[in-house]
Amino acid sequence: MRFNEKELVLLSRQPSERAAELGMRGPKKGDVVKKRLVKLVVNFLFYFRTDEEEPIGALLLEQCRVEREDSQTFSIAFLDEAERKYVFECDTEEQCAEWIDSIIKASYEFMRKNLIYYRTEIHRLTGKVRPLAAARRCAKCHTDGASNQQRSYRGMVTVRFGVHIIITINSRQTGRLMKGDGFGFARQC
Amino acid sequence: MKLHEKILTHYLSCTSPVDKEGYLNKKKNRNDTYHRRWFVLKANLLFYQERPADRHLLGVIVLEGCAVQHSETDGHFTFSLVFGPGLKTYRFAAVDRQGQESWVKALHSASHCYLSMLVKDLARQYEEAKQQQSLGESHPSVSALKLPTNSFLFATTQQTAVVREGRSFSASTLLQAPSIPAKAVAKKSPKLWTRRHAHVTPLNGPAPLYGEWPLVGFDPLEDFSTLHDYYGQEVKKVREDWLKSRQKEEDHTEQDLIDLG
Repeated sequence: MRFNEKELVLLSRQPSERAAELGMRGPKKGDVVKKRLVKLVVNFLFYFRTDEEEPIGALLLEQCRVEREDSQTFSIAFLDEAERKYVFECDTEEQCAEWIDSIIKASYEFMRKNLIYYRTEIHRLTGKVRPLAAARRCAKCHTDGASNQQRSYRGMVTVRFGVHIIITINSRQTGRLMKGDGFGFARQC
Repeated sequence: MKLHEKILTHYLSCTSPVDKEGYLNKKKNRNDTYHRRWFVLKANLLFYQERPADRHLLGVIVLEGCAVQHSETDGHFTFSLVFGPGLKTYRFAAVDRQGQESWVKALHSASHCYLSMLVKDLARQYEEAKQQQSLGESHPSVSALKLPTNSFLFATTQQTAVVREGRSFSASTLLQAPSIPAKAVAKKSPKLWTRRHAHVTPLNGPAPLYGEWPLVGFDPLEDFSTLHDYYGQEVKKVREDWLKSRQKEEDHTEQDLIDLG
């Protein structure tokens, strides 16, 4: 299966939610614990050999189960295969708890559920509904997202969920990609 | 770098919602021709295969750090995913303007960063809304409403290993909740009582007290399709009621006609 490897490797080098050297053991019988630099970026868990630039591998943190194995160890199981776990050994109890927390919250599906939860609650509390995809005007500055797909001086714009997002490409020029530009990222108007 | 493909294919085939899917034409290389592929957008991943029924996945594009651009020069409803200098640019062509626009929109808002920001913004709105409710002289039963939702949250958080982010705030309201229902009964106006007895949950009014809360057993962590069905039921009920009342009206008018005749 093809994938955008170079871009994914670049993603692994971005500032991350959480990165540390942990003891990591694979799911197969006979796999031993190895010291790896484990890095959480968006909903991927990258793992590197210490001091290497390119990660050995990337694990997508969706549809997985994170469990505490003991006071300093946690595991991640994928594919509903409860027995096949990736095991991670931390230095302290606190670090272990923090990793579990971060991994669970990193999942896209978790965030999506939060989105639904907040919208439902806001609706119940205020009686107001902000239609999801239909809100094409920014509530703040009233830009119409539909007509504004072009690049503005700040970057490309879109309106989604009634929120005006500007996707900039790290340079404030008129959308020209400058050398050394990092990632496009979204910010509100 | 090894991308654990099985995890991705498993994610694609599981029950979580598909954000968008459809045929698109994809250019293999810059000067190549277009190939028709079936695309499935799920979360920040764009999967593609030859046909929808295919087991074999041709590939996946991770949508982080890319910009979606309309290309106007081609005149073929084209758009592209630009990752930056030295990195790939994927070029697509949709069948029509509508397809082009809807794909561009979907891909724009697919990234994890985007969703994360959106959720943060909603969390803030939620906190503001909660504060306003507790400050203002709003319907007391709305505070009582916090009681059932809190208990569900606590029940569900024990099952899944989900750590509460915004939900930790619920813990404090739980402590306050017991005293409020007592006041609620005394303060309720007759108008509110009538609404409470209606079978339909008034959308803008106070919710029924715990005993009648229609969402008993509702798990806010359930998937979207279940939520959608639930809210759909409410709409169905209202519609039924309205149709019944219309029928009554019709009966009436018939009677009048007969009288006149």
